[in-house]
Amino acid sequence: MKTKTVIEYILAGVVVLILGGLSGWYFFLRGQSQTSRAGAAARGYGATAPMGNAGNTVFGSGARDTQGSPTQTARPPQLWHVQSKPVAGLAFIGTGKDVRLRYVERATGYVFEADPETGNTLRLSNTLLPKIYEAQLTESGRVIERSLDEVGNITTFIATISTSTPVSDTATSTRSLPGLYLAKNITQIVTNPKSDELFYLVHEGTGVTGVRSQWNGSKQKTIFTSSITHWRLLWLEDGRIILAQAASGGVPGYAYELKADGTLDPLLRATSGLTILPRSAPAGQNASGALLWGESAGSAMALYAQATPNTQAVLLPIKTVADKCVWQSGKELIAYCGVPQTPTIRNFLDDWYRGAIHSSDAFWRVEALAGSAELVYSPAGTSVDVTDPIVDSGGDYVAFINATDRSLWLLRLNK
Amino acid sequence: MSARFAGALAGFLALSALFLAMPGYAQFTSPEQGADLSISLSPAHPDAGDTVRLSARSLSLDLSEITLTWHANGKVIAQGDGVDTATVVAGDLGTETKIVVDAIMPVGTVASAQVTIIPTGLDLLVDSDSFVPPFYRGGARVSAGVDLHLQAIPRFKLPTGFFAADADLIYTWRRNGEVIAGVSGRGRSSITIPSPHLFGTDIITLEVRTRDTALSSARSLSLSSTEPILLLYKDHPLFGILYNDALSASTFIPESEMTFAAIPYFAQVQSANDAQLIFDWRVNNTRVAQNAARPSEITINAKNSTGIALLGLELTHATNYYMDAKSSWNINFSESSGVQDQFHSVDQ
Repeated sequence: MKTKTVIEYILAGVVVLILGGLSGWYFFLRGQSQTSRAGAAARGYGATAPMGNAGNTVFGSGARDTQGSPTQTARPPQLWHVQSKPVAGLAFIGTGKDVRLRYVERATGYVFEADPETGNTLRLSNTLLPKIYEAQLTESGRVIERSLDEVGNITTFIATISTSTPVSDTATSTRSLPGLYLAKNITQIVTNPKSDELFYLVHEGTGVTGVRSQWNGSKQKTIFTSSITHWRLLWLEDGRIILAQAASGGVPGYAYELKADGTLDPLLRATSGLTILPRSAPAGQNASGALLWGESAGSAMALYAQATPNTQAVLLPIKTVADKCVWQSGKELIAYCGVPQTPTIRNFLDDWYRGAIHSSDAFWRVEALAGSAELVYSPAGTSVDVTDPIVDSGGDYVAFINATDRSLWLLRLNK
Repeated sequence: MSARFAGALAGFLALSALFLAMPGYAQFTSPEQGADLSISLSPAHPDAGDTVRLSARSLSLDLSEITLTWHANGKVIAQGDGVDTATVVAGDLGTETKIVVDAIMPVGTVASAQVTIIPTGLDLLVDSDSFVPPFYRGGARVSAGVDLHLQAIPRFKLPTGFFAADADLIYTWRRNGEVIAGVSGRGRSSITIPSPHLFGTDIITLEVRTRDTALSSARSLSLSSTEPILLLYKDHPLFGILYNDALSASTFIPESEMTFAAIPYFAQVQSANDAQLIFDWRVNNTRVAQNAARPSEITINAKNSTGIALLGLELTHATNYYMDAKSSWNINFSESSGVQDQFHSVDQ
């Protein structure tokens, strides 16, 4: 009997120890989970997609659904703060009601997609690529993510993300991002909007070499060399490759079309602090398209529009740089520009490029043919410094990065 | 279109002032009257589409008392007593516009001069190898000690309809009027030369001509060296260096620890951590040891500290004595406790 009692006590003790252990394990795991969530939250993860009332002027959140499952919510406000954490690049995908704002998160290189009408945000990729300084996305699902290695070399990762419509199932909507690295120290890179070909500049000796290749880097062909190393590149829908000298206020700048034989055909020459935004020529026309360009010297800025190469350029009634503008596709020569609401000071262009000065911009609609501009939206209660603006194919939305903090914003052009 | 090319000192002039009786001379002088007449152009080297101002000059005639008639490719473009100027729009590259001016007195034509304008293009681009950080979108300014890269882009359209190749053109480069030794010659469309001294200004002139001198052009530009600019950015553990937002003189940092990266724009270095750079970091006027691997960066931990950290940096160059950049920033960290303690660099 005594032995039986002892055994009962021992069994009871074991049960208590097991329960205690399980409880401890439970609380330990919970604590770890909370820590993990807190860490993730600190990086901008874990919150639901940002929503606001349509009547609000501005809504800022920056949260998003990391699980790949969209959440049904209300229509975002006219000026929607899509992502408060820094982003590296953005593009509109799709048309009409299926239009999505696709973007690359700077911290992780993850690709996200936001629905401008529902506010749903979906993560599309789960391949971690830290510290992406610059990213490009194409309609066809190509992704270019550029970063720095340990010794400061520029790395360029190219990949393709599935273009199928994201699904709500967590297991299938978030995908890996298989790709490959191109040569190091590519200073500039652009893709052919039609064929996904690449054109990029690499340092070689005391100059740069321009290489054209297939998307995967194969079939490389050098088509350009220059002792001028600081260029900006554009590859237009009409197939033209544009090279513009990196701008500096008060310094004469040049922009050229790079011909197939490697020669340069001038677009603009000896223009002080030249920033340029060429528009693709209409389909079937050999002539060049419209142009927007800015002149900058000190605190003075001017923006010009030219509808066709044979028409007189017009000084627009807005003062900004072409980097803050974007052409809308379609027949009409419409562009949208972020325009500083207060006079710029000092050497605005250079200071702006260096992040030493920021502007508070309003949005203006430019009609190149008429040479006119009208205010379309002035943010109230918030300040945005527009850079990298894009417009969707329907002309319904303008998305851009706020240069102040590299956060992502979207403006619905029709209330 | 002129606005499009405003500021461009472009163009080529094939000036062949012809003596009516003595073809091949640059100026015409009537043998009967002993008068001379010449035409000058502005710009001297017109580009395609440029509006060219034509001016008649004479040492022996009072042009204000004479009827002048201007012709462009046979058509009268200006006429009248004392009309010693006219304008004409240059044609496309390679096309000829023959300008003739006749000086007419009651006794008849006393003098005549002719020029032929054949527009060509010549761009002179300048760049430097001064330091700018990766992904920087602006131009690299010229500073003392760096190398300048100059590239000419000529568009000389030959009578064959083709453009002259670089290798077929003769380039003469001058700095402040003196031919730069060793860089001029046939096909030398790109050169690399030292930048002007600090606060100095150099006039770079380029003359380009075909081997037969039938076509020629010239450009010049003024270049000045500026001082490097020292800016400070946060090097965020997740986002990397936030080049988009340089720290102002007074900055609030919502963390208790942060790494800062100093970027010497336009310095004579290949990277911000170039071994040629000498970083002298100070925190609250106390010199701190630098990060050996990344001397351009400093990490400050403000835990158990109060007040504002005064971060100072003096940046010099091992061989370029022109470079001496200094700056300081007042940085207010959050999460400071009440304990009095010196801010400290974790690199110490």
